[in-house]
Amino acid sequence: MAQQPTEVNIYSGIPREQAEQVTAAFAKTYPQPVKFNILYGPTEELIAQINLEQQSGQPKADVLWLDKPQLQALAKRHKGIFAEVNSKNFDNVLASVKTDDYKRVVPTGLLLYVIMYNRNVVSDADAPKSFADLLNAKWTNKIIMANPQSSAGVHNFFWLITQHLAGKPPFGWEYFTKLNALKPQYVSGHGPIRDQVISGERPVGIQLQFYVNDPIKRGEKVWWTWPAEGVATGQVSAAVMDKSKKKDVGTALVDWMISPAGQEAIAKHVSLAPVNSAVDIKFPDGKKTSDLKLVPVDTTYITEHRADIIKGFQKAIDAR
Amino acid sequence: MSAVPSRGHAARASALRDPTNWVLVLAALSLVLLIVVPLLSIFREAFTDEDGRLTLANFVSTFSDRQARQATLNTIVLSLAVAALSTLIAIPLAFGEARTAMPFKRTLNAVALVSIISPGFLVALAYALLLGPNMGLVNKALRALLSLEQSTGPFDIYGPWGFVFLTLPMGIGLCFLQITPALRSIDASVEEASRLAGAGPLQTARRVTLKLIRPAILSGFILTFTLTLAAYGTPQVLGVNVLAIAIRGALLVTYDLKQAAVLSVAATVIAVAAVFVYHQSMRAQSRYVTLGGRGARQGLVDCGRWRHALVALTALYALFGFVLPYGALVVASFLRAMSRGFSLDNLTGANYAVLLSDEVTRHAFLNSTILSLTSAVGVVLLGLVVGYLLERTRVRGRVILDYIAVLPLGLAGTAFGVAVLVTYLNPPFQFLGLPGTLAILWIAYVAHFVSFGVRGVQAGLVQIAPDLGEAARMAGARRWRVVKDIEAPLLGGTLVSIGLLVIVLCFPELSMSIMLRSVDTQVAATALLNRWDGEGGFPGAAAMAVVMFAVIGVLLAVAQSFVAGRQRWKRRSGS
Repeated sequence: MAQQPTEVNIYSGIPREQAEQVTAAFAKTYPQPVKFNILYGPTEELIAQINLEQQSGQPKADVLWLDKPQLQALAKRHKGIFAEVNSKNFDNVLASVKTDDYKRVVPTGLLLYVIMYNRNVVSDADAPKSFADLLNAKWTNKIIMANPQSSAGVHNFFWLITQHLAGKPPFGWEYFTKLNALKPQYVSGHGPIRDQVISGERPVGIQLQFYVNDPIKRGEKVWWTWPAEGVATGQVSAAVMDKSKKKDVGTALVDWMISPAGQEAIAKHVSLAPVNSAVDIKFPDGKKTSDLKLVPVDTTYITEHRADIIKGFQKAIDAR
Repeated sequence: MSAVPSRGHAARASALRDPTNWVLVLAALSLVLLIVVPLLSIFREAFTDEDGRLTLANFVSTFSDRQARQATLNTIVLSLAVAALSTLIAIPLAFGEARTAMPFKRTLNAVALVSIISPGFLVALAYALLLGPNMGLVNKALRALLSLEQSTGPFDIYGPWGFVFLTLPMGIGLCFLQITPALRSIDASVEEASRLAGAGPLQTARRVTLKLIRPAILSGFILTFTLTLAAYGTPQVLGVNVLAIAIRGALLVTYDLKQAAVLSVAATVIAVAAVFVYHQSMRAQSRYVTLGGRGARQGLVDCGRWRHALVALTALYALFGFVLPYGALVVASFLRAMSRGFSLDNLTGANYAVLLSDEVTRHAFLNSTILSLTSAVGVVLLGLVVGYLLERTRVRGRVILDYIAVLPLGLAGTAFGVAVLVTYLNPPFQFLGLPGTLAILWIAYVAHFVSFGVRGVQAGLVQIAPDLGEAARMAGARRWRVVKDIEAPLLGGTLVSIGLLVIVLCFPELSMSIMLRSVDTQVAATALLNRWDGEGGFPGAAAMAVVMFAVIGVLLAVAQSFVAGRQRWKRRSGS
């Protein structure tokens, strides 16, 4: 009689179809049959659900695959929630992402902040090359970005502009006051940005790179530029629930995710840049990760200052 | 010595023996359990500090924020605007459908239902393609046609008035479904009497008909107001600052449960205030009973040239509520790449093929079908009992039940979803093991939409003279027989309308579901959101919305043919 597969529940901020391709690649390498049930949703909603499950003592998730700051916040709120992953693959993981408790909140891929544009409306030559370029009056009514009040992911970009580039004009909080004068559209997340740029309604968007690759594969006339100031680099991390009965499979999955094979699968199916230095990928523009000016985001700052970022943004756009 | 029982004692004993009274008590308790218990968790959060002491400090700190004040004001003004405009437009449409021989009645009914079931965020995205100020197809066409030199507009769907415009079809549909059965129930002889007394058709409509259907009009207004109050998808896409958005932000981005609770209480208070106004207006309604002991007779009104105006209004409603948004969705669903426009080499059926082969999508549709059908049964039964309790009994404190029923409608679905989850994750209900099952979604759906049942039944019962039941009771019939043999059959049309309405509201439900679904209890709306955000993008989500619309259409057709078949069978058995 065929062995029943072990069922593992993954709460994922990565869209299900993409995450399924990654877990399917892992399942081929795992000695026992395993089935992954993936619950995909906006990170904010999944985190709320996990918090409530934790409070009740009835967690259903075995593995979490979400933005790092939210996982850090979760670990801070519920001590000992995540199991430690011991992997020889950590030796090749970029030092810049091995921060805090990286063995429990394990970095699996890099989220890169870029400028997306519609090629029907904006020529490659005319496309903004930097975040500073976006302040040009010609982009009035043309820009779209996520609102930090409803999107957790955009806090990475806010860190870049208000902390990393602070004191270097035109950056700091006044950047958002100037940008607001150009009447950008603020939306709930990065999905609407993708669609508005594709339709040309807002031809320029401050966007995560992995939202650009799928439309390009489908043949959409969109492209992106790597901002001259540097590419804000957030992280998607994985964590294994310490009380999970499937901890062994979960730990094996996360170990595999940071291995060269796992990193290639994540880059191929999810379009996240690798965190393992032994792996380098080529983006559709021919550039490799090693060619980019990456600026690792201080995820701990975001975890601790989320409310301040929202207040700062409101103050900046209210200022005349 | 045996005591002779007093009359009061005998009456109490008789009341205890009557099973109907037990059903009423059970229904009241169910309502409390379904709604009050989850809401208490929100109220407790809003009115206590971190140490559990009573305080108003959470309100002070929340409303010292300009954004929160603006969200509250926007919510009230926009909900009032949508409700008022919806009612004004729905009245003539419902009149045309129920009381005239106007053509295109089926179209009108279909558009009303489609408008209610349409997922707000997807319709908003569809309209962004049409009325976006920069590249909206309608705007571009108008700029070219009128040789306008401006590079944006003339229309801008983004902003508060875009929200009103996009929510209006849903509101019209809700009001239409409330008012139409009431108009059908009017005894035509009342209107004939008015005309015999010298009044023209318009005068009769204004002085007689409108007054008779006032409960249904108010009911439609309140339902539209409260549903607009809790709308989430449309303001999210259009970037409108309303309470539902602010609650989600506090709950999920800043993790400020206190602020989310305070904003939820504000939304609930607004909804309760609306019901209070409804009650005040209904006080005098008993004099407008239209179904008395004598048989009711219905007839069609000849509205002359106004018939053309009704057809034109129907055409406009169909254009904005169905043709434009669904036209955009259908076209988008067959496109390989949106930015390449409409050309043969850019057409594909792949967005539909993926849906058929995807197990999670199929499972989600099955879950939504089960949930919407069973929730409809739950809402109708609970609505019938509670509505009866409110209208046909003199039980002390019954009005409180009416307020309880409407409470969840004013809440953002996300907040109510969290409240339900918190309730069943913690003692004393933890042992039930409901989180992660379809049962918890069913509880939330029934609790959230039970007001439709209660309000609909109340509006229906107001039109049925109590003397019918009283006569039967005097002849010795128990209350249960009166409900079963007299009042429920007279309410038949209303109950079917309520059931259908609940089906169409439950199937695409998103905001509660997203908090309550689990890995194996995905529903259609959460699967749709995943498809949009995932690889499918807008074309993939558009294909799924079209399929969702088709499934709901089939569900409604099956439900309606079941009811029609049952009525035919009853008639044959009777004869």
